[in-house]
Amino acid sequence: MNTGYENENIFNVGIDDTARNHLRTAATWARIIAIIAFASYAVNIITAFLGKKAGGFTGEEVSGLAASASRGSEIISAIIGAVIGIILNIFLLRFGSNTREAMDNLSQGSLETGLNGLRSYFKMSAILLIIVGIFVLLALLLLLAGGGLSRY
Amino acid sequence: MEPNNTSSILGEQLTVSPDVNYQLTETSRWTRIACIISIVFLAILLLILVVAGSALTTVLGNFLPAGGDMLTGIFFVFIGIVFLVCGVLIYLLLRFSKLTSLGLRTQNQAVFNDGLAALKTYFIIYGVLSIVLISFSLVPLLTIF
Repeated sequence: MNTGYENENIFNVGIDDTARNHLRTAATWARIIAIIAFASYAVNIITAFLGKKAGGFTGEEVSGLAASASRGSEIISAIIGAVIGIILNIFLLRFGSNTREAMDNLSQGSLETGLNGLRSYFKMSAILLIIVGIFVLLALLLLLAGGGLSRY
Repeated sequence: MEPNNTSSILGEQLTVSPDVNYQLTETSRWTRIACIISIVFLAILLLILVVAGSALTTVLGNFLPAGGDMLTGIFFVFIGIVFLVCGVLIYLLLRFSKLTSLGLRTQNQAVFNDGLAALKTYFIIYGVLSIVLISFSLVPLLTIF
């Protein structure tokens, strides 16, 4: 007879004290990482707008149009990086906040929301890595093709 | 303050519900994919360094002033440290992925806990690295003001 009770207890593995401690520490650090990431995106954007970067070109070194083009691309790349990073780290922050709340208040709903955030974080990271990998492979192929063509 | 212990004694417990099981299984699948891609990246980078190592040394030698050999050495040591840290992080994520899914599949609490311990260590190392890296990225901002 299926009472529905079985569906709730099909798993013998549980969140015991050890698991709870591990998850609590992981969630705390995840929150720290997300907050630091948000701060670093803000720093990157401010640095890009103010136009000084360690080792970069300043307006005196590169003249007129080239300098403004370099500044523009720096700002755009900082903003794109920040947008992607913020979306990614919102998932991490959700994992950190909800899981910590779940560990403190023994809230099953918060645990599920938190782990959903962790899943989304790693899923998005993997997809981004795949996209970056494709670009790197294309760049390598172009480089190799360019090297091969230059011989003839 | 540990309010959890009281709740535990009272019988309230967090469980690995079907939803938690699904989230953790999916997480371990995606972390495995991310790890495999990262390993491929590192391998390609290592290959490039091995193949173009001497050319890179020459290029660095042209850019660096006298005594550049030491700086080139420092550069390669730095690259080695980056590889080492990345390797440790990938290992920990792979361990989390493998042990958590295995623990859930075989219903082994100890294995499941080891997987979560690997995730914890991963986040600790990543967190410390983030703190170090943000302090470096603050340097150009401080030079502006």
